Amino acid sequence: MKKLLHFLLFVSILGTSLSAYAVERGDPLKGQPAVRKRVLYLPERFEVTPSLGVSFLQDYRHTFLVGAKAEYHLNDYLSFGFSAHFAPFSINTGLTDEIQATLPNQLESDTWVNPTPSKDAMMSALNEIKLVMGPHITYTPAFGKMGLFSTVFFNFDVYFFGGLGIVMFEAGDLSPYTDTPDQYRQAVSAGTAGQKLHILVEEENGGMRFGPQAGIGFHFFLNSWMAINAEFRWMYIKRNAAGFDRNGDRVYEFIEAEGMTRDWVIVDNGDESWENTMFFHFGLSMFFPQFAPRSN
Amino acid sequence: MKTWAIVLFALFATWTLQGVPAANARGADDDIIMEEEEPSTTDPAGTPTDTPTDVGDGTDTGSTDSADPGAAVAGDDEKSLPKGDDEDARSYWSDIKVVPRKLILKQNRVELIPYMGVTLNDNLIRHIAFGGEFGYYMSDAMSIGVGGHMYTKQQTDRAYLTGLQQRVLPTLNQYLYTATLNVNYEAAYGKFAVHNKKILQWGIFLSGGLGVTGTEVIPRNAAHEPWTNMNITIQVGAGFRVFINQWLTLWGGVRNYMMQDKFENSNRTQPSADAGESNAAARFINNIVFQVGVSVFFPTSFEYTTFK
Repeated sequence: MKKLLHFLLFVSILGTSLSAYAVERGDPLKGQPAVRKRVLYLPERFEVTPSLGVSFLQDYRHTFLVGAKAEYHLNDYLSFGFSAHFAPFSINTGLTDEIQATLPNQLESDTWVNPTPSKDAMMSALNEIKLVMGPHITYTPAFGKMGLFSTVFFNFDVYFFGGLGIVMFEAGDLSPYTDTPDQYRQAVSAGTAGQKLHILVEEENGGMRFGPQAGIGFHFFLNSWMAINAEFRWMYIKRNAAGFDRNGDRVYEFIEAEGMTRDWVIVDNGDESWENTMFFHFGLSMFFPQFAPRSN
Repeated sequence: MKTWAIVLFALFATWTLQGVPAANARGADDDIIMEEEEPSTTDPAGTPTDTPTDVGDGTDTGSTDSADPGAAVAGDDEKSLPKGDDEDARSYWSDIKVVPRKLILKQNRVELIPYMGVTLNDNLIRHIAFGGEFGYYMSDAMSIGVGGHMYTKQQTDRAYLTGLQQRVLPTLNQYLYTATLNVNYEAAYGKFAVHNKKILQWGIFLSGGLGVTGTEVIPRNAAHEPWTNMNITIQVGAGFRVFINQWLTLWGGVRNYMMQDKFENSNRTQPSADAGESNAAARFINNIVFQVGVSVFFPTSFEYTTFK
């Protein structure tokens, strides 16, 4: 009996000790930060990023941008800022070159029958991006470290942003290639009618346009206050890139000298459509103050 | 009786004192000895090494430490363990991995990647691609494989508007399929922390390949029959993957399938489809496809070959 009691006592103590040991050996990292002593690149710092940009998947003109982004980081995750980029020049897309190669050099002799635009008219009608800007809020959920070819190691973060997108377009100008009903009547009377597109441009396809913007970006940190910034920016903007009629609305006028009714196509805001307008930006981010503390 | 009393007392004592270690454990969680006072040490090669508190990150980009991803890539995680004076602390931390092991070892494993994609660089016609890739890893970084996909086409609003606004019927081909032999190389490997809580590992790969792409002309004249082309295709691309577990990754990439394709001649007076085909105009095409999918590794498990 005594041996049995001693055995029970031994088993009890052993079991209790093991369970206590297991509790004590529970995951010591539970609830702890994944990374300690890391460089805090973002919290309470001001960021200025001069950058170059290029449009992506534009229909008619590739736009190149020069500008900057200013941002204040409230903490490790949230920041707000404003970016503005000017477009000093743009180039034709492959589609534009292809269309141009197909179009005639001059307007057709009878533009009532064949209102195909000439090369110059087609190019003159296009609108162009001149300014891209807007405020945004940025969320930076992740940071990390990477090795390139197991040779170069650097820290990075990835962020998402969203806000209001503002795009200023330079309007196309079709006026040298079009006539109005009154101008047409005068030309008919004078016997000089012809070789004009019968388009009424009631609203130009330029000016400010507003829409949502969103994107994703990366900082690749060179040191505690400089980073290479790569960013993809998407804007959803209403525009009429081609500058011609889209919805088929027109006005009918009776031409007394011809004794018949003619129709003029109307180009206005109704011909605009929402389009994805996307850009890549590459810049150099500078953070101020230059000192970046470390976490605990 | 005396024995009974001793036994009962001992049982009472052991059972009631069970909560004490647990309380200590909670206290330990709140006040972990991170040994951060210990200065960085220098290895024999003179390379500064990090303190053990750097769980995979936290160093200046200017320093190369033993806890960086390169160490993770090499699987050298055993060399970053702490060497504190306190023996208790050492035993306490001895089984904590400073550098997480590389989540997937790929050498001598095969990878199956079902994916879907979308073409990016044609304003007039968009293609959705469905396909897959099968690869074999000769090393942990390099694989060879075969991949392919089929396309379905969608003409965009701009294709319609080009006819309406510029009065031009666009010259278009649709893609039918692409199949390539590929070589992939994992050029970069890293990890990131989400909200400083969860550490994920990821990699960037470069890809190159050679294959064929089938295309079909969309005749400008609807009365003409379309014809098909089979084009030698060079593929270059890059992508990334995020490792989920030992056999699964999220996979994405952008690949450019370059080929010399044949289109209807821009001279728009072809009397018949045959005449159009015989007068076809060759043009170099960059078919850029954004692809996303998952990759599954077989066998689904593996043995690490290095110590923890």
